[in-house]
Amino acid sequence: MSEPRTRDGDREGLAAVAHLAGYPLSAADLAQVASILEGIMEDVRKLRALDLPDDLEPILTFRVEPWA
Amino acid sequence: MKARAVSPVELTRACLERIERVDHVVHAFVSVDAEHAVQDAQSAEREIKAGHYRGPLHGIPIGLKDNYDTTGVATRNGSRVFADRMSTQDATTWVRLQEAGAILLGKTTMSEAAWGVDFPPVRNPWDVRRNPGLSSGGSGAAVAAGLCFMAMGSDTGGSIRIPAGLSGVVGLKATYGRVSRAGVMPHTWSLDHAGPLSRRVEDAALVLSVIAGHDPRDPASADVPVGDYLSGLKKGVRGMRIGVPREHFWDRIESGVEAVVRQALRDLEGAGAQVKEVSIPHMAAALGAILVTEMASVTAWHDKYLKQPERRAKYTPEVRALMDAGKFIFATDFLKAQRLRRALTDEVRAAFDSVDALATPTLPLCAWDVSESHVQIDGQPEHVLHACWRFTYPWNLTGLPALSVPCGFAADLPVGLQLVGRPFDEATVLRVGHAYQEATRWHERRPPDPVGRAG
Repeated sequence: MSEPRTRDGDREGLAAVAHLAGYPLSAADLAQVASILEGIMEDVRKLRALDLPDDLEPILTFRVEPWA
Repeated sequence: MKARAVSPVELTRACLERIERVDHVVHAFVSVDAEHAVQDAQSAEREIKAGHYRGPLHGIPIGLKDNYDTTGVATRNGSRVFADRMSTQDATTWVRLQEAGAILLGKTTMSEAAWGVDFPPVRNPWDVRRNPGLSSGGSGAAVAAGLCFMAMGSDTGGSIRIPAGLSGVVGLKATYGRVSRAGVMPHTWSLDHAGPLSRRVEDAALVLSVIAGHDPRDPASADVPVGDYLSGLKKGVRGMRIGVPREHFWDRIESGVEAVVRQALRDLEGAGAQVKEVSIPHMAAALGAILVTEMASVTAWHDKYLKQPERRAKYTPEVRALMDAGKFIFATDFLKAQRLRRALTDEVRAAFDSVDALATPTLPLCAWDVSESHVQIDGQPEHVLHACWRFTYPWNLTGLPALSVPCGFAADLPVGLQLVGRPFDEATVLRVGHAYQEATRWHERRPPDPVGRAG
């Protein structure tokens, strides 16, 4: 998480998304949320940038099995 | 206890007296039930005198993190939202510990809903101006300060191993599914683990022997035979192959911490292990995976409370904001994270082809000042949450067993060595940890008396 540098425009955009998604938040709450999201975005972008094999399926029910 | 050199009542009263004397500074316990603890100790004493000794945990005073359900005592999950929450069923781990004769002193302090870094006033016994670790910080501080002999914690991204590392005690997260999560308030379903913090590796092994095993109450519980964690503990590491990941764990780490952990690796070599580098390329990119998994999951569990205005207002602003932020995690990112977990598990499995266990630092830093939200590592500012779980979360994403053992000090603060094993091979992890402990004896160091040092 990096130091937040959220711009007003980002918050307005987020407010519109929040409204559309059915999660309306107050301006104060939105400001905090925007700050947190900005703090994690560098790591989320790294995740998005990963080139994973096409046949790699997500683990949807996490269970650990003994290795053969 | 079996030889009756010390009685459960004496031991319990000694712990209660120490809590009375020290915990107003450390704040490791959020609630203490002295009356019941003494009653249970008296009952244990009668049983032992009558020849009904249940085993090495009989009459031993312990703590449970405030997210373990206990009938008759509120389980608050560290939050005002759950201030009056009384559970009707004990956590499975607590049921098993009771059957083994453990005595509950009270509930240990935790950060709210095991989330965020806005910690309650729990302090690190090694320096009461500093933080004792993430959400199981109360359990780590309680053990380090000598307030109890073992305390249970929970670990979603490192919250057993991080306080163990920062407080100079032992912390064990077994394989996902090995220890029941039933009755431990959920944080992130696919990442949550329950486990002990203790003074010695053998105590962690002993507790695991009691709490491990299949539990129909936990849908993720594994029906895999439980090993014998004690008999092989003293076999040493001669000839064992210890892998040290080349990537991620040495990229950004305080130089004093790195020096201590590098010495620990040499000590393992000195004890007869072969230490070699291994490669796990996706390790460095996995932080985004745990962030989106955890943020979305925490919010999904708490959503019904967040929708209730009176309850919503009771979350602290920082935790409420984190939970609100979880609503904006995209499903595509969540699924990418679950794909990465599979890729990461495959890579780790390949690394284990040539080694018996992995060794890494538990953390890249030592305990930080309670007032700090950001720390400087290698001259770069970093959020403390980001910094402190960088080396522990990979083993939540993969579900592998991981142990933190004390491995020395940097600037007079404890440093932890993390040992990781194959699925359900806790015995090897404990064996390596015990061999290291016996070779170095760092676990025998105790913090100075915290009373009078509160800053």
